Amino acid sequence: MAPSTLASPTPDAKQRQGFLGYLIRRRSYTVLAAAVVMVLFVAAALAAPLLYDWETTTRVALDRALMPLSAAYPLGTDELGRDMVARLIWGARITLVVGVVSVAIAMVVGVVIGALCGYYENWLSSAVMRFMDFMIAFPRTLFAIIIVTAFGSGVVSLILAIGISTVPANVRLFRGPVLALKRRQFTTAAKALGAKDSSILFSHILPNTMSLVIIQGTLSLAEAILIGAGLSFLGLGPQPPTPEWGAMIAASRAHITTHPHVILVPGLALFLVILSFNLVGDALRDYIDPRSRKAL
Amino acid sequence: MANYIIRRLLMLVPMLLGVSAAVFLVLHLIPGDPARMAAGPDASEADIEQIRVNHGLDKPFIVQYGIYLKKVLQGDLGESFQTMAPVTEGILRTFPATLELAAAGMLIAVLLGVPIGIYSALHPRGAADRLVTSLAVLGISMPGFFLGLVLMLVFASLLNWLPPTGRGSFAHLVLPSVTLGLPYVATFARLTRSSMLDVFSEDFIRTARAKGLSWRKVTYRHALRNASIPLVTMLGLDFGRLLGGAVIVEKVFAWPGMGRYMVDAIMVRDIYVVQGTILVFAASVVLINLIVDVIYGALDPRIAYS
Repeated sequence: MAPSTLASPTPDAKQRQGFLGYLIRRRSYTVLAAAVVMVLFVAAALAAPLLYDWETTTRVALDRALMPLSAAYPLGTDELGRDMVARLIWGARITLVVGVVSVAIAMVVGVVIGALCGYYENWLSSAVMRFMDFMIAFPRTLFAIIIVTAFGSGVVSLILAIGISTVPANVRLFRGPVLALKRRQFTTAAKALGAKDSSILFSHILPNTMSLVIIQGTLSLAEAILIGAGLSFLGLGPQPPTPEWGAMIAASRAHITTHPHVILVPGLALFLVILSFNLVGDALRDYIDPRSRKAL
Repeated sequence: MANYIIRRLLMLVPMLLGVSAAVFLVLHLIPGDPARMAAGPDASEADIEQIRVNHGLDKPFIVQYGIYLKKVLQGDLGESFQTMAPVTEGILRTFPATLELAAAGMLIAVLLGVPIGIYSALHPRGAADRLVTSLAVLGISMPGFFLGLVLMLVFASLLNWLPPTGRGSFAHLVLPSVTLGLPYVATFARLTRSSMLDVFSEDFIRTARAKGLSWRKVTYRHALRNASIPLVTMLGLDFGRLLGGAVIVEKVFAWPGMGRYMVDAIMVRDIYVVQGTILVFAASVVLINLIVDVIYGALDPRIAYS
């Protein structure tokens, strides 16, 4: 069940067209819109400290609590009188950091273990794979909750929880292609020329999994943001007054009936960002490997 | 068959031993003194020491684990630091609610997803087919707690059709189970569709048609039965995910389930409660996988148990 055959070592002509051109040519306007949302999200996350200082984002001012949408506060204020725009933008920054760092951890660890388990087929690698299969069967949310419990609530433990709980799936995902690439002629050729195992693995096999890393990275980001927000909603993420989107929703829940905007603003932001990463990830997969379209 | 089930049940033992050891290790080596948390901010050192002795926390780690295991085998999962109530009792009180929620969510996903999948397999590239593909992306992108809150806002606050929180009547179950099951509808529909399409291209379908069976009979008797094997696999895996998702949905709807019991315990480092609930969650996941394997055999006699 090798998940998508990888791009051949020789780049084919279509690849040079560029992802953006591919989207325009295929009239994938939904995906283009998703790409715009992604860019806005990253820009907001990067520019957050320039737009609003931390003080404005977290200072309590009960006299202007729960204000509706207005010119002064385009998205209103929350139950403690804080500007929703400021909190949304700072929330984007926290979400991006949590997502990117946790996915980076999951990718590096997953690719390395997956590659080793695919390259060396022995009792140890099959034992590791057995263990990974067991971990995959265990619900991710619960797995992440156990890890958060161990490290205590906060951004760092949230990152570790998401990262570690993604590793088993990544190991299984990357082992397949490595197993297949190992049997390709260019690997045999490298071996015949006297290349060491490490050099075959790192300079011949791993570079060929890069397209899979990009696709999986984008889709993993969507899932990491989803799980991170869920854990924060449960109170296991960054603590108040940190404006994490899931935590914001948890804190404002009581006002959902009277002032729905306090829930809808962070909730829709979360939904749109996750949706965008999923749409762009799917489109990237179609672009890099058109054959996978039929798979499911 | 009976042998196979017994062997698999015996394999549960080392597996749960492993899970319990890992969880025990993690929860005991972490910073944050559970005795201090239980005693409260004003407690004296002597009080804290007393709690430590009462719960056996003063003993060496390996001894603590041994005592814990011995008690677990007798059905005693320890006592809560906060309420002094037995954890077994708490789990027996909350687990049925979680199971009810997860089962109802699963039922919604299957009852909606499978017929939609069959329909779009019979009409490939039709409107339903395209709709399902779009809905699948929406389903995996929607945070469960946000979906739950939006449903609560619309159906409980604005329309006043359903109770917003709590457990009791059937009406209470509707919103939480829809929140839990809805994101899986499209997943099941897609899987049903692709495995139905795979089966449709098999020789035995052509044979069945050639001997004069109606499409209806071929679809339901021959195709669906063979297509249900990947579906059952997915069902098993997703039931575990639903149990995990239930933790969040329970918090949204104040559903008195085991997920809430666990999360509340995590907040105050009530380690025996956390340990017990995780063990029960793990055991359920393993048991569900066993049930799935047994169902395989019933669906496909070619699968031999060895």
